[in-house]
Amino acid sequence: MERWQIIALIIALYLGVTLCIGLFSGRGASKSVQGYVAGDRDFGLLVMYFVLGASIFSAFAFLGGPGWAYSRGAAAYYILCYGVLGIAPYFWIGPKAAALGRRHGYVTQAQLICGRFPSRALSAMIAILTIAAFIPYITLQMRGAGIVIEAVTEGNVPLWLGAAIAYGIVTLYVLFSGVAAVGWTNTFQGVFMLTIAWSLGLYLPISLYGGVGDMFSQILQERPELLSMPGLTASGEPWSWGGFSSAIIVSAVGLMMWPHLFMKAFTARSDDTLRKTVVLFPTFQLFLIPVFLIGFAGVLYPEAPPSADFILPFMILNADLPAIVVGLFCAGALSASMSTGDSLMHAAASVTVEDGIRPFRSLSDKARRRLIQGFVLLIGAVSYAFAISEGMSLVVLLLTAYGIICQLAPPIVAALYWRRATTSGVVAGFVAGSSTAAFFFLSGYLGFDLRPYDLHEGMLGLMVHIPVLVGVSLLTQPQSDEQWDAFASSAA
Amino acid sequence: MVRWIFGLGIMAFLAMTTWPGVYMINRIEPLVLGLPFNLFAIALLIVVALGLLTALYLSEDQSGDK
Repeated sequence: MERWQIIALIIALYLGVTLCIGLFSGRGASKSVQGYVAGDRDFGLLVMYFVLGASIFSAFAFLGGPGWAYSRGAAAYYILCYGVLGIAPYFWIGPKAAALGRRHGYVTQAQLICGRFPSRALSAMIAILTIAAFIPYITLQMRGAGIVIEAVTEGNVPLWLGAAIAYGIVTLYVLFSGVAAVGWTNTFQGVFMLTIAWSLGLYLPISLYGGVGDMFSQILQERPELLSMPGLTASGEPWSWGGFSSAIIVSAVGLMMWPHLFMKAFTARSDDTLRKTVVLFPTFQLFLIPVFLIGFAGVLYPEAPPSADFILPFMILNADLPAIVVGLFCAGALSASMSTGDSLMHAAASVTVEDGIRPFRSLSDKARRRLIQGFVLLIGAVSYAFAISEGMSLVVLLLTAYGIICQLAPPIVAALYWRRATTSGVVAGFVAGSSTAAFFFLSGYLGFDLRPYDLHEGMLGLMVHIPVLVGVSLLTQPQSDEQWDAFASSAA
Repeated sequence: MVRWIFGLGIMAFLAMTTWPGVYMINRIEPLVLGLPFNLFAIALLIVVALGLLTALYLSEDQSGDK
């Protein structure tokens, strides 16, 4: 048997186990929309921990993280910084949103916002922007899976086929088991990824340089500019502090606003589970450090991969490891991609139906569940079409997506904590913030970079969004006490 | 009380990882545990944040605050 066949066999085995876990996990869940989208609100600590952790360990962190460390050096540290900042407010927001979810039956973020600020236009707007932000994200995960499979099978399984197999399996279990499958497969995949990150992250520096410290000493001698923050830009110029700092802030604000993460507040068994998950979350940031070491190990390596994103499979293949070990490593990288991708596909379809269609058409519970399953297929197909077409600048799109997703933060905070906020204020703020972010992105994309101090467009959006939300709210009629009580009494 | 300390801790985290506070930790040498000083400092900040979150969790748990 040839080497790549052994590797392919191990990957096939891994995919088989994942599929079984995915299909079996859904058997206990109820057949309602609440069961499919919010797991009957019955996720325990272990599953919650890995579901949130998987979001950090996406294909972006697993392939992009080492890629950043390899080509941009200390710029990658921003990925370490935002997690703690982003999760901390969730300690309070999470349980509060969960309480409201239990009381009013919410399963998505827009339902929560529109429960306080009734507006079908707002709901539809959030749904559309969510889908626009999700598709490049899912596409990126699919490409990641395809890249890994193509690289380790020496091209015998091409990108389009690898992505199709991995995501065919994801689609199957999401379709049949809903969020329960997402939870349980993420737990299995999470254990896998962590083992790999640590063993490879320590093995490579030791085998190539004699140790982690020796590796950094050598990089310091030959490429000192890589080790000092804020690192370099993609083209190798020094990065600006404005860019570095606002990337941290926008990612921190946006982190929990990603609907596939925020919605998990509605899946937790209890507030205590949710709080414990928040407390344990920063451990995943620490787990990222070895992933960066893999990227740094490539810096002084005599050969270079075709592009920075390939550094992880490139280093694995060049490390003279036995085929079985390579196979296991690749299964781990696939875990990173699939455990985020399943969550994204599931959330995107749920949001489309619950926020984009349900406010306008009344449908039975069964019909909605069917419709969500239909959209899982549709969204998967569209993303796949993008994933196999070359030349799409996805990372650029993904960064913009963050700029738009973080515009969901002010409405959420206003809905939960600011009594004087009004529907007009929230709608005006959301429109103003999103258009500002989109304007700066598009102008930059067309070659006119108008952003002051190199600030992230999402941050500029927030700087417009918040004053507009506050100003318009204060100028319009306050909400009546009954309206507030109907929304918030149980959560107070 | 713990909430205040936690809030301050998070603000300090933000201040030390963004401009201009980041200059305080932005040195390469000495290497600590094999890591450049700035990377080690960020790791240390995350560990401190873990400790603060744990303290916050324990205190809210005892007061029965929902």
